[in-house]
Amino acid sequence: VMEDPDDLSDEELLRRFNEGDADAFERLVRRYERPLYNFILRSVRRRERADELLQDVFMKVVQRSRDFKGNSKLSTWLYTIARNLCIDHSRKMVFRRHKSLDAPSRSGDDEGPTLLERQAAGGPEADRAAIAKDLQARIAEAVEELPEEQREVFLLRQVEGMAFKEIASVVGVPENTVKSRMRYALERLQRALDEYKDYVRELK
Amino acid sequence: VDCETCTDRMIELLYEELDESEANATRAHLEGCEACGDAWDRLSLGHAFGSRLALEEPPTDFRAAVMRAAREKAAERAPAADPDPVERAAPVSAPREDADEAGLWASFVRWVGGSAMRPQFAMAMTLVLMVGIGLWYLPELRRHDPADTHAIVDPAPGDEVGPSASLEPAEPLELRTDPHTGRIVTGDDGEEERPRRVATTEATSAQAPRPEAEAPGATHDDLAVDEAETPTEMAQAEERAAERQGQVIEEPMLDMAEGAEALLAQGESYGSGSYGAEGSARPPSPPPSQARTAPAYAREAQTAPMPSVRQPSVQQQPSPPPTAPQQRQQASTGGAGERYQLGMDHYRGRRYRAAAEEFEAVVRRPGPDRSLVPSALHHLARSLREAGDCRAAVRSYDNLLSQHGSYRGAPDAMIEAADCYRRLGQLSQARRLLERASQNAGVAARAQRELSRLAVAEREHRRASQAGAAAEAAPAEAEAAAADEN
Repeated sequence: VMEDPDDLSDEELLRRFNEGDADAFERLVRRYERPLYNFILRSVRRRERADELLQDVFMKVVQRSRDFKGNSKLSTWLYTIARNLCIDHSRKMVFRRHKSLDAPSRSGDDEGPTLLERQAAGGPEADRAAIAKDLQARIAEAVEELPEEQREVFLLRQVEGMAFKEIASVVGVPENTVKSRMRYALERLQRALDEYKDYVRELK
Repeated sequence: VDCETCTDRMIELLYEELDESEANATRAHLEGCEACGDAWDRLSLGHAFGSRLALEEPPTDFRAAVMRAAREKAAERAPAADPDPVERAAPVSAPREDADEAGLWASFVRWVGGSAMRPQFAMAMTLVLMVGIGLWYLPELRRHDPADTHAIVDPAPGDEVGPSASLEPAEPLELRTDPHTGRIVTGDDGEEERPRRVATTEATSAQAPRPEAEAPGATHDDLAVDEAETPTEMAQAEERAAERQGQVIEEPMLDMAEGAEALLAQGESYGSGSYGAEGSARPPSPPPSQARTAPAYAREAQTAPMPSVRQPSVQQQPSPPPTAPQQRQQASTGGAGERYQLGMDHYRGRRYRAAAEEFEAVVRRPGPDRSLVPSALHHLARSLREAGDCRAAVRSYDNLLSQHGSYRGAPDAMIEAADCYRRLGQLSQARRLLERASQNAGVAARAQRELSRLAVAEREHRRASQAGAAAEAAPAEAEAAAADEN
């Protein structure tokens, strides 16, 4: 019976890599590159830096794959590495706050029309696509403006779909603290994007 | 389910982490509670926004570099295609790098190159180091009195090879007033018993040759210091002496000289006497005919114990010879370092008289390492001060500040000496020292506090003086009034 490599667990893939199977590692990369990249990107806000950090994460995994003892899920270990790299980067950049390059800022009064102005200027149907695009950018911006401790919890839950218990293991705080941070993060997002609430409810 | 429980469960309900029964109970509460319902709506809206966060596509070029490294590593770890029997017997999981880097040293190198070099680790180690040094140092500070703000350097024991000139003047001195000149002379028959002083007087007045009793190393300045009786003379004489020795004289010397003059005016002998009851057991003072110069002093220190620091009485009484236990104790004491340590032990044990004796011995016989002398002199002064003998203490402070002006404890010594002067009623001396100490940043705050304290004493002193003057004036006025009436 031919086994499907996609059915193998993360831990099994890493074990095979440790035994010399490079293809197993490539499957791991393809499995995690997207969520890891988005976690890093929303954390450091700069695309070029996120590219470098993503590569750093996997290079560390290559070098230290034998350090993984299997006491936790591999995803927990991967995101712990990514989080540490992001924290190191944030410390280096603490005096140089950068805006995201992929999410134009909309916080100022002179940075474009508001949602109401858009709707008043054109018909609802005509501007619907533009609003959706604008909302995407605003959500990304709102997420990046979350406090760091709330943002990482939000991203781990929302992007990776980690359980709160696993997030607590990555972040190193009690599970109830993780839930509190998640609640604060959602409340902040709701306040920051309140002008889009009718639009989102319509989509529901 | 109450509101608090409902609030706690909302997030789990939102992300479907509640079991069915808990979820149903929470939903039931939300339907019946308006406040919780509003909170749920806000969270749901935030969740709706968050779930629309678009995921970016990762770059693809990174994968090539990562996979190249992964293949190299996998090749290292993969078992050889045709391993020899020895290699075949080895576990498949045994990596080649482990064979190459086996051993504790390789593990240590990997550890140093990995987690040990992390900034967090470095910060933690720095913190541990600082706390450790602090914990080690605190008990050292607690051993000293609160006024001691500088560390005590525990000395290395040294050999006793010679005396110290730091404890000057320490020669017993008997004071008498010359009925003809009104000046203070020494001894019942000062001109015979103290030819050195006579010689100095003659030298300074008639340029007469010095008698044989004067040791070869004696200098005019050394003797002039002893002969000086006014503050100015003392300061000038000591400055000349210090210049010959390459020392730096600082202002406190003048202050102390003035204080010493005041003490001399009260009939105190300068550099003689004992510590009271303990001092009475000391051996006889050396013959006054010996000149107090460095070479003569060295011979004196090696042949006879030095006299005590001072004697309150004008007439110097010879002390009885040391008892057998004392001789044993003296014999058992080692070099200056050991005696210094013994003095510190006594000092910490609040046995200040005994401490003073040890510190005095260190000052007199410091051995080859003279770095102990300032600290020993300082602690001699402190011991005397703690023992309540302020008059003797100020003399040691005087010696310390005039001979070791660069000593790091000098600012503290100024404050302590000022306290002694204040207790002795020498308020102007105390003020000068405190004002000088206040210029040192390290003790400025303390000096200012002492100045405030001194100001109170000065006010009380003025008030008492005014009251005394008024009391003296009152009878005179009454007498004058009575005379007018008559």
